[in-house]
Amino acid sequence: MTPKTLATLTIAATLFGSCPFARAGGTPDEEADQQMPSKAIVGFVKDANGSIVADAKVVVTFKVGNTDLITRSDATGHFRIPGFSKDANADSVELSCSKAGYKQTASLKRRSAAASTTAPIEIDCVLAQQ
Amino acid sequence: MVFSIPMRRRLLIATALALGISVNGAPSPRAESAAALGGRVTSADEGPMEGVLVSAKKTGSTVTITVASDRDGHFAFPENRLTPGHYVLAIRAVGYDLDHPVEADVPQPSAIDLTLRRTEDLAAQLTNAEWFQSFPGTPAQKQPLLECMSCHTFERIARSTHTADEWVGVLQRMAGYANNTTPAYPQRRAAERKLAPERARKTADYLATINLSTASTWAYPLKTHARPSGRATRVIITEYDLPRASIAPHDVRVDPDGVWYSNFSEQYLGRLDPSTGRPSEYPYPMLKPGFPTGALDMEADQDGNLWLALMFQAGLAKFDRKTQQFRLFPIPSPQNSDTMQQSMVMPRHSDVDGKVWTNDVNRHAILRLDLASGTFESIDPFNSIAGEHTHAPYGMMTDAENNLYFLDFGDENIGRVDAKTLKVTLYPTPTAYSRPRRGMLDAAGQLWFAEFAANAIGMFDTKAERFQEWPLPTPWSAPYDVTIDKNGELWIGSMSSDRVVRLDRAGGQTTEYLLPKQTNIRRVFVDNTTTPVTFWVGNNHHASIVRLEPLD
Repeated sequence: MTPKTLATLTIAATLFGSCPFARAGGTPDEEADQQMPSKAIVGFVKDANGSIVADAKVVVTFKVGNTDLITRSDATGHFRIPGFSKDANADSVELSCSKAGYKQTASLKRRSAAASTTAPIEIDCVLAQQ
Repeated sequence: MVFSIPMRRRLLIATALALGISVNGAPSPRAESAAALGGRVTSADEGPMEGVLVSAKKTGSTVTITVASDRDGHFAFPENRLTPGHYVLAIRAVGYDLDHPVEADVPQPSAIDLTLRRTEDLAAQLTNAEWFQSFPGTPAQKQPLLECMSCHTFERIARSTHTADEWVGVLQRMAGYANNTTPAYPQRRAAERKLAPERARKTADYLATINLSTASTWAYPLKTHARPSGRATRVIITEYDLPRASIAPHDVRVDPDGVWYSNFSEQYLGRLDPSTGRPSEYPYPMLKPGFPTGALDMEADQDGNLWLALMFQAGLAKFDRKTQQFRLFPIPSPQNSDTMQQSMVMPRHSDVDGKVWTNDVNRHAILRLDLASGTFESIDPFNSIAGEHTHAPYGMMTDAENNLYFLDFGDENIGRVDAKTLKVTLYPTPTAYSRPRRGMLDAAGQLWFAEFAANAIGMFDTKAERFQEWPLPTPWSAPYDVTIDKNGELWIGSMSSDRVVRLDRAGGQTTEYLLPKQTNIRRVFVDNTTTPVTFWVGNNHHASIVRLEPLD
């Protein structure tokens, strides 16, 4: 296991470990069902050398419908975009990233070995310094 | 008499101390020169007591005035706050009762010293936030209780004797009540709402461990929060009783005509005249007889007309300020199911394009009313991405182009809907599952919102697309709403602690003002025309309008 993979797994474990209980309290106003945490898209923004890029804008566009999701990479270059159906996968979305002084060169999708309804979708985004 | 200082002078000093001003210094705008009534609060356990709320209500009046004792136990009602008459005094200080009933005539030349004794019934005094901290169990076990406190206190849960099996039935019965229910005004839902059996069982098993089903008293200690101190005691609170216990004021809004409030339980828009304490009620017709009544969100459009979201009556109402007539916009019949519910409305910039935003609570969607045709178009921001995962558009704001910003109370997003293209953009909050509930968009494009499930306040800068968050000091505060005042300070209402939180970001200072009566704070409002600002809120559980005047 590479340190990078380990870091990703650690972060994923932290994210879901911090909210191990179902979404108790129910949904507002109407249903009272408990929700499990939604599936999330997680990844890192990196430069061509593999170094992390903090505070980059990350945009996820879902291929069906008319919805974008926007966040920023944190101090470790990591980002997380939650709220997806268990059926969502890496092919459901386009992901782009941007930051002043950089231009995007690639977004790299990684698939888990087995199709999972709960494991996050992992996509890294690569920026080149201009 | 023990003191040689003349009584009038003593009261003046007491007033000055209670108001936090120097006796010789320049008075603040709300400082009064003498006290109508004052004295000292002590108990055998503590001696002089700080942060005891002392309330005075005149015989025959619907108005209650409350002040708080300072660090030396002194309290004082300013002279211009109590008109001459006979008053009954009451206190709020968790763990204590008045040693004996106290009444006084105003003007009152003598100090009225109050003696408190330890209460014999602490459970009757706990806030829901204190129950949250007292109950044993994990946060996950306690979290379903967040839904209970919209309607009632946890005291009735703790005092109950239901077994786990009985709780399953009780929970099912509770699920059948509409959101706009209070103990004084229960309303059944028209459409059946089933609880998932495994969820009901899990919650039932837990509740049977914290109530009196197996013992005559609680096996866990009852924990209490500290009384107000320092700045939180420099306040005057006025409560205006509304004419029926069934009235549940939900949203409040102050303008030159008075204090407007939406009634969460009945088909009236209300207006209180604070100078007389007299409320006026403006009735509007029922759209769906047999369905729960009452409105939630109340918002003004560009002309100051007031709009109401009609909950289970399904639609919107516009109150024309000039004609004082209502115009109703029902949800048309193909869309109008038995579960149809509008909790929010946003008409602020409807003059831009003739459109008013609202929500479809049951379908977790957004609706947009076209004023010319009376039709509602549906926008589902989550349909394509979320599948079975639940989101819920709740608090709504618009910018100058009538683009919508909404809070995803079911999950963790700030959303934006473009008014022209209907393109949806979602911004996840930094804290996961924060359940952003309500808030406001300020003139600088900063969107302030309460993170109900994260016990925090968030700010989303709509221009820079960046977030900031501020945690609240008291656990389980469950903030519903936040507003920013002219000085940049934040005002937040807790749904559980009966406390109004004032957050001075610049000074890093948090002040928690305790209200005199149990409540479940919803929409908050700040009147910026006064100095210091004045905070207003409805008490939905005790049918009153509350004015909170900080003295600094």
